[in-house]
Amino acid sequence: MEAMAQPMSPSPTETKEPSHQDDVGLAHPWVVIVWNDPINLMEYVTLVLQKLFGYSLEKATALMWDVHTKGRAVVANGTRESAERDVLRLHEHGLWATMQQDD
Amino acid sequence: MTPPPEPDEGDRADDEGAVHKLPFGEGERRLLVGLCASLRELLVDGSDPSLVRLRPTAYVDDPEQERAWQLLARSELDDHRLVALDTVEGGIERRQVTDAELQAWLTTLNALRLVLGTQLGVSDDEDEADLDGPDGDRWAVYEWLGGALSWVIHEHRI
Repeated sequence: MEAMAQPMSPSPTETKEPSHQDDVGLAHPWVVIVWNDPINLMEYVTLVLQKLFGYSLEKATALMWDVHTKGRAVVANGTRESAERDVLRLHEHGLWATMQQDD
Repeated sequence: MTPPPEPDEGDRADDEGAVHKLPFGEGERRLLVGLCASLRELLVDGSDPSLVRLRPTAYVDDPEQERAWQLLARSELDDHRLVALDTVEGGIERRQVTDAELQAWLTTLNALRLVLGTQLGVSDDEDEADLDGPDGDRWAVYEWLGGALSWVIHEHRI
C-alpha cells in the first residue's frame, strides 16, 4: 500500500475560506459541531461531510480545514430532531460531533 | 508528505456499480480478519475504554441529556458496526467489494483506526508512528489501516 494520508494535517488540496457561517438561521436554533481529533484522516472527514450533507467537495474541504485549524466547525443546523439525526450519523462514521442550542 | 493518490476508475461491472478488487495480499487479509474479530469482541463486551472514540459525547453542556443520548445511541451505533463488520468480513473472503459495500468498509476501517489509535495513545495531531518502540508492530498496523482506508476513500464515489 502506498496510499497514505496524514491525520488531519495539511494536504495539497486547494481550499477556500469557509462559507458556512451564514447558514445558521434564527428559526433553527440547534447547531451540529464537528471537533478536531488527531486520528481521523483529513480526506475521510471531507468525504463524510460530502456524503452525509451533500456538500460539494469545495465546501466539505473548507469545513474540514476549519475543523483542523480552528478546532471545530458548525457543519449543520436545524431543529433538535434533525441535529440528533446528524450527530448520530456523524458518530456512526466515527467523527467527534456534538450538538447545542445556538444562542 | 505523500499526496493522496488519484482516484481509480475501478472495474465497472454493470449499472449497479463497480466491483473493487481488494489490493491486499494474503497476509494483509489475515491481519484484517483478526482486527475485525477483535473489534467484534470489544463491541460485544462493550466495556473496553478504547471504545471511547466510537461513542462520542453528543450533549457537551447537558449531562442529563447526554445520559439519555448514550442509552439510545450506544446500542444503535454498536448494531450498525456489527452489521458493517459482517459486510467487511464477507468482502475479505471474496477479495472484492461492491459499491454498495464501500460504506461499511469506510466506517469499519475508520473504527479500527480509532480504537487502535486510542490504545496507542494518539492524542495530538503531531503524534507520529513510533515504529521502533515497544509498540512498533501495532504502530505499523495503525499506519497500514490509514493506507487501507485511503484506498477505500478513493474507490468511493460521491
